[in-house]
Amino acid sequence: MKADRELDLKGEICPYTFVKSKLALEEIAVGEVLRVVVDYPPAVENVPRSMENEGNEVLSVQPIGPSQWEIMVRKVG
Amino acid sequence: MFTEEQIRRYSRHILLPEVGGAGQRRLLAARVLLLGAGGLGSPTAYYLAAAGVGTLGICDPDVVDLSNLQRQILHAEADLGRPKVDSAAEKLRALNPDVRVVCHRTGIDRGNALDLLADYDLVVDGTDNFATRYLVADACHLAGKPLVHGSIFRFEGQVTVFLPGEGPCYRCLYPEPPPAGLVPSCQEAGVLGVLPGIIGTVQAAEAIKLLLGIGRPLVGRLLTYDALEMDFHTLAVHRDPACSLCGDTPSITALGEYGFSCEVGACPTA
Amino acid sequence: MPHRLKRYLGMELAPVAVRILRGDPAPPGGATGSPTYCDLVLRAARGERFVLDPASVRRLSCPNPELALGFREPRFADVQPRIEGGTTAVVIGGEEADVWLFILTPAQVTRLATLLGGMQVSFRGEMAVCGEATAQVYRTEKANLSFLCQGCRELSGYRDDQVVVGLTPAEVAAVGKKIEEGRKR
Ligand SMILES: [Zn+2]
Repeated sequence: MKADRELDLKGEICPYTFVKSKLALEEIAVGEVLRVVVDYPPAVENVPRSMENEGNEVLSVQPIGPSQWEIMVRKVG
Repeated sequence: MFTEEQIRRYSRHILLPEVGGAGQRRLLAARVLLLGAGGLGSPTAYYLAAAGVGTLGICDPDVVDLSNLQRQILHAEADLGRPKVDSAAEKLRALNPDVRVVCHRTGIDRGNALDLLADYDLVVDGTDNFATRYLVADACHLAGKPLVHGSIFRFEGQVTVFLPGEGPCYRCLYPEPPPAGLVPSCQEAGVLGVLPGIIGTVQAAEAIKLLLGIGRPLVGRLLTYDALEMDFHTLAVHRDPACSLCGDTPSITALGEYGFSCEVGACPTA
Repeated sequence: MPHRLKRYLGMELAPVAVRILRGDPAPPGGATGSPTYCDLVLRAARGERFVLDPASVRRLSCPNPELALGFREPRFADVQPRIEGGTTAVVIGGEEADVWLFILTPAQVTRLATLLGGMQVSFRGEMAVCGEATAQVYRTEKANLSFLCQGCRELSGYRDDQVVVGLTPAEVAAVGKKIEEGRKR
């Protein structure tokens, strides 16, 4: 799957993981896909949750390395 | 795109669903004219600058006087004798370098009013005499600019919002200026120092709501506040179809003479 | 008992009872707005009481408590410490507790640790008040100390010199007894 926008959140912790992913989603068009890379374990759960709570669609969450995850989100509405 | 510093500075706004990044960008792109850098203008300017309103015009002809410091929190003792616009600009730039502060070291009058307003999206009135308030209200109506009105007197204050084309205007509220001499000038009246802090902060909140297009602004509603009773009231105000400014057949179509009040000298800022 | 401890430690804020309901229906009056769990704990320490049910926990502006307090299971990565899924409601404030939360200064923690006969603490500065101070104490039935998380420090009203200790009701009773005995001696 190809992302329309990449966001590297390695080294970021709450609340900026959420603030920055929210900003990145605002900046893409409806239907486009954002790829977020995180290395902060709670963010693996709470970034997708926050995105869903704002009405977006979480496509996948996968480990991509030791303590690194990739979150794919599609912007809805 | 926000810078790293901006993301941190405005994160509490960005977290609010009603503001978000889009709302913060609107604030950064907004241009607000503050009339008066005195008691009302001080808290309004501080909060609008802190909120990241991108352009803040400050219009005030005065210099800082010792008797101002009881309530005009933009200024300090070291500023005595300095133009208020310079003192204000220094404090606001120190608070937030994102804000472009434009100094207008002048009073607003019928000659310059429409030119002054032209560069701004919204006007916050922090002036303290009836002559200027009528002028500002007329000019904003004629120029189609939203106006956040505030005024204070002793222990009482009021705030309302005038949106041209929607709801009443200042002249619907007060059709006729009070007869000269009936209203004490600011120099005679006295005011509780914290009062403009409360009223000016409410004006800032209304200005930010209008810029963001959120909530219910004080259009057609007059908020009154009594510090002694610690009581807030909202009164409904209706547009008067016979109003000389916004009525069905307005008689005021250009700025006129406004020399009818504030007998004891000019007192341009609260 | 917790109030005896409050007096003894000279606490500024009241201990906060946290009740974790598993399967019982949620009491009425779910918390409104979008505060954080840490906010609600701080407000409960000043006398308020809040109910988190599945709807209100989703409205919180921090998504961690939903996971830490066991309202749902993690989907993508195991995040600890947390209570297993199955929680139906959490009551913050009041008198009934599964975990007592104490908002303390480091000096007060020193005295509390002595009373407890020592503490083995574990914290990492993430999922802190909900995970470290609540979920972990609930699960292990042992006191723990949390230095809060960055989000809580930034978004909630805690002072830099405030930390949160979670205690089980049994520990609170034991410590209260010790204080009482000390007074008799
Ligand atoms: Zn009118």
